[in-house]
Amino acid sequence: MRAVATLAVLLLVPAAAGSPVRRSVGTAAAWAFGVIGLSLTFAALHLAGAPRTTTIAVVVAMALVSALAGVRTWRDAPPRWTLWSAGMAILAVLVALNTVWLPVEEWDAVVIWYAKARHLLEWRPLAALADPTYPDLGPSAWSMLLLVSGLDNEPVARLVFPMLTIAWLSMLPRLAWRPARVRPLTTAMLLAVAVGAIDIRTVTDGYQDAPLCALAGISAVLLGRALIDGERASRGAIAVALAVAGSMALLKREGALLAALLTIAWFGTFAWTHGVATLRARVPSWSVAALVMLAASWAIVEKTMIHLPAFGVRSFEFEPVALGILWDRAGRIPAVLSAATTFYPTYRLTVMAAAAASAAAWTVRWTRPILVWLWAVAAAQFASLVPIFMLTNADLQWHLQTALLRLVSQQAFVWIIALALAVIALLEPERVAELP
Amino acid sequence: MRRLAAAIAIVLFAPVVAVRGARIFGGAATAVRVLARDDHEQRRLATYGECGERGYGYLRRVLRRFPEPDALPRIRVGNAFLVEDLLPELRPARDSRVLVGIDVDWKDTREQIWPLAIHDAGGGAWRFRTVDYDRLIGIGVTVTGESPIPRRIELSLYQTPARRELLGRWSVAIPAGARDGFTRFDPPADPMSHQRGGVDYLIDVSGPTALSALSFTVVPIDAAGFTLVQSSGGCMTAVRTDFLSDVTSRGDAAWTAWLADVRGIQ
Repeated sequence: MRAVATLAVLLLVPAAAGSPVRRSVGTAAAWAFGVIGLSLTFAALHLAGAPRTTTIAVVVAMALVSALAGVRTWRDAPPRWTLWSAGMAILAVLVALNTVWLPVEEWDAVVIWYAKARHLLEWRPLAALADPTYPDLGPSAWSMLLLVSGLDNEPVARLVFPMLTIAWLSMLPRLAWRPARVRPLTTAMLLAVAVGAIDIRTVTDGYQDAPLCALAGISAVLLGRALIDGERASRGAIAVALAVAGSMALLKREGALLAALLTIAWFGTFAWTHGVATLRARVPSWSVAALVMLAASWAIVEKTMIHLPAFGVRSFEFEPVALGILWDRAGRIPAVLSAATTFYPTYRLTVMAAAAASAAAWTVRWTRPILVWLWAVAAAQFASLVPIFMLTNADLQWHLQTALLRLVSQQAFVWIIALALAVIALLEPERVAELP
Repeated sequence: MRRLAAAIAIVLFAPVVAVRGARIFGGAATAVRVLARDDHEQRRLATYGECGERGYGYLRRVLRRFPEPDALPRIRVGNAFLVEDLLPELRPARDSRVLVGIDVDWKDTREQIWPLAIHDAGGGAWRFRTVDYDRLIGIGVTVTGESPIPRRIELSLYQTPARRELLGRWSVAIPAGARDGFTRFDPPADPMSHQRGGVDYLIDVSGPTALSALSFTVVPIDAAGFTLVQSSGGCMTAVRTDFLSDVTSRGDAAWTAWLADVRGIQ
């Protein structure tokens, strides 16, 4: 019974909380936005030292007020069943089944993220949470659902993470000119892309890399759409995209850098293709402030609120960033690059397929700014990982084997959007307006 | 060009869709079967094991009649993660009068000499790694050659290979005609081995001779003052000796019943 109640809460409460933005970004992104908003509220009030009951009351009130504010969007435009939504619903059920039968068991998922979620249930202070220097957005979402499900139903509460992946994949048709009217063949091909995007183990295991990729994907689809629309781009959608990007910093520490890469590169690409004046007109200044505030927030919390001993919580694992150390350890770079060539075939094939798909899509002009932007982000994200393995004090091969693929998988949204873009560009060409 | 690139993309991505799709469908089929057959606890037991690496089943059994409903015993897991985070209930308090060991042996509570695999880090420094231990009692060294006169070598132990944080500095005496020396710490050095992941220690060695072997004398699990009450298959339960005497003399019903229950674990 509690499992069913948890499912209902998982689906309905974030949808209610995100309903004010549904008109701008669609149901899936609005649901994800609701998850982020409620989890951020929960995490912020915990951080501020509010009592647990007050926090829960505020979260519930926030969902109710948002639902009232957004009720018109559901009345005016109720969700419609299409071939695409039916396919994604089936995929969501299959992914959910893969999640709920297996208790959380992967190492970091247990000792960092699930432990944090449990400690939040106990309402321990910030510094007493597991790995307090890691951000709390994901564990807050998990913890809120554990309140409903109980620890006995832990896997049901963990569904929030794979459903974020489903949410971003279900947004892929937004890159088409008329998302609700893509051809059946395009729909089928996009469904294949969505299936191929899901590494079921990493999506369901409770690690935060797949959710980070999902948030980046949601933001990238909305921002990619804005690149297509130019001066007709939705200001609301851009604002949501920037907020989602900023919240990545509260999901994982490296999310701040990914958010910066994604958004700064997008600002540049938008200004290059549509002009600075259009950029200023379409991007609300307050949304840029929200992006900066969110992206910087965890670093500020870490500096000001978490007082740990100098060598507390495994801080010895990395050397501080210093040019001298990087220079001394430059000899590690070939080992890092070499490790990237030994990923599982499903990853290597996806990257190669995305590269070939990008070449195919390149022949359709409107895709070019999106492809340039996303591949630049992917290259910069990979480049940003190299210093991690130059600064690590752990055995390099051990660290590469346990961390590199997970970190690189955070940019999988680029590969998948490139594939989706090629499908849309090649199968729906006459329906997409060419860029000026 | 466009068709060729698209064809290459399809050929490359089709196996990914096939493999990942098969895993999604196969996992869903397994899920339906397992969900119909097992309840939550059976699934946790199947995943975390009885008394293997996680020791979930053993801990659940120990807690079955544990008199403190909000507390956990002190738990020491061999070299795996803490099983307490897997329990389907919150027990925020700690009862340090009881010690549960998972994937360990009672002999791990006694002093042991651990020879360390050392790797030359250059300039008289050596890297090495250990698994978790609770108390470091002493350091033993073996040097490369004998000498007719007593010698002394100086050791500096660092947290990381880049010499972050000096953990200790010791002097080891090597008697005349010997190659081995040992220094005992009184009191034992602070525990510093837990949760190190794959990070090596670094030890700087200086003196009139070179190092050829290094050993730590450790107590892997600190159970001083505890009495073993149950042990089976790599899991064990111990109770603080003074508390055990107290329970026996007072005839505390709840603790006596718990002890009988734990001693009955096969």
